[in-house]
Amino acid sequence: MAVAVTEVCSHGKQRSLPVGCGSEFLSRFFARVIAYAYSYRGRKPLPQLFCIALLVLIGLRVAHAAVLPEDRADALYHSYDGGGVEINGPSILVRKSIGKKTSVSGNYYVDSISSASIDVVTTASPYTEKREEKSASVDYLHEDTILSAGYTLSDENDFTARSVHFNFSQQTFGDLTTVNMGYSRGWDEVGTLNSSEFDETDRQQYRISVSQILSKNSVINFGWETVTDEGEKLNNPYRQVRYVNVDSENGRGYSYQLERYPQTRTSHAVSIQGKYFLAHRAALHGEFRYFRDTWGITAFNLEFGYTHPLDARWVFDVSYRFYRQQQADFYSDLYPFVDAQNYLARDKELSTFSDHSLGLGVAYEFTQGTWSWIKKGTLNLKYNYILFSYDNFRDLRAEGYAVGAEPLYSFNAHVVQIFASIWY
Amino acid sequence: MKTQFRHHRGSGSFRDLIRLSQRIRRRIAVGNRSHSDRNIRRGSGSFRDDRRANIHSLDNRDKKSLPRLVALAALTLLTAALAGCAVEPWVKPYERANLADPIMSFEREPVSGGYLNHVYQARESGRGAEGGQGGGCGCN
Repeated sequence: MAVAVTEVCSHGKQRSLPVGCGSEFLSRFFARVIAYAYSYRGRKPLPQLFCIALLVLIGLRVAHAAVLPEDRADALYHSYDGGGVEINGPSILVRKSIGKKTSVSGNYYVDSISSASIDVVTTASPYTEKREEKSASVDYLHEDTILSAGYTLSDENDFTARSVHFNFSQQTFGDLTTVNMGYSRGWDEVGTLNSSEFDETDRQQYRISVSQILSKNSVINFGWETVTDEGEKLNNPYRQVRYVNVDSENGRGYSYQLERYPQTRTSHAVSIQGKYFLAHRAALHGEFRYFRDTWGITAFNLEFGYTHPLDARWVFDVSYRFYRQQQADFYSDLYPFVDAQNYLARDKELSTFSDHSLGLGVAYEFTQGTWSWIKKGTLNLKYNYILFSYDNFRDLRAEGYAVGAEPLYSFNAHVVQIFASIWY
Repeated sequence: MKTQFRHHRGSGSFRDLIRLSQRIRRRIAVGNRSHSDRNIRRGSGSFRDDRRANIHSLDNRDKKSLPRLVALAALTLLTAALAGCAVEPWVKPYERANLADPIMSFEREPVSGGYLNHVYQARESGRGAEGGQGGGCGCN
């Protein structure tokens, strides 16, 4: 790597390129961009100029040397148990290089769901279903740039989602900085079991992140992502809202009607993550993310973690995460009457709530034994305890309360992951 | 492996870049001034109108100046960063042993990280910018 940096800066080979580091052309081009930006008086939108300059610079940049992800395979069994919902299944992830410049990966993931959640218990019947997700991607390395493309297909009985992904990663600044830019496009088909009609949803994601080495022991990452959804049914087609009805059939003073959501949603999220290496070979990490969308939801999460290796074989992890969100503008636990407003939602994920998560993990590393093609492997166990507390979503299972005065809902979840990884 | 990084003060250095940008900026400023002079000579309005217009445009410029300055600073920094070689890396490749340690990776276990993101995404409205993409050390 070090040799590559010196070569780029000093070798005639690189200088002979029209876009080389020392070229007159590139200097004049950068100077003109800076000068034009300084003389900007509202003639052209600056963000547009900014993006064009960024893309051109990244496109023209000559390289040092990036590296493809390592060849590895992971086999994971996951289990989620909380709020009357049990989800478990396998996930297999395999990555393999083809030659020196290309790496391919494939993932097979299954969710086997058995649901008797509070929504289901109060307005429907418990159900079981299976979701399968298959994805494949290819990474191509060209000097200091990695170009990636991927395809994902997710399938369950009343829902199909397809998406394509493109990613661009560039190392620069003597490999101290890595810039990632990505775009995804997704198409969802949502149906109901009683109908043969499907509603389509179109989704686009734009993301950029910058990783920066700050010192010999610290690295930081800034991320930004915008997601847009457009479709006739952005809500769960089965979910219902409740409204006050003194003459209700259930005799509880309220009745139900189906949810109605806006047909578009755009969200923005920014995040910052940091890692710090401690002198006794341990690592601290922290993360903060802020989120807002056009439905009026704002949210943030904060996470801290500590990783502690013991001997050469054991690695222990502990982490704590806090998440807080404010409700969507059109959300209500109880509407005053039927069709009270244009948009109606009683999805607890759109309410005001917070959750706390405590994570523990242990990994055991083994080196090649009887199988010589394995460089190393790890056996891992991870456990997360998550506590969800809702501020304006009420538990309708409770009886003997006035309408709108039922106790607030909360539940806890246990998430277990057992997996093995091998490097070859 | 011990490695030497070189300072480059030749035609491609950052100092030259700034000097060039200043020269072009001066040229643009001269161009703008002569354009407004022409308007005054044509008698497009009274002296008081011109002064009011100037004060108004200054106010607007002040209001817009902060976000513009931030954007320009970012642009300049990115341009300099991507121009790259003239700046000496402050962490040498042979000093990146700690950063190359797997415990310093943002995405040490991709299969596990992906699953946990999925768990949160299904139960929270917040989505995107989960991080964990790539790393900066280039040593993998």
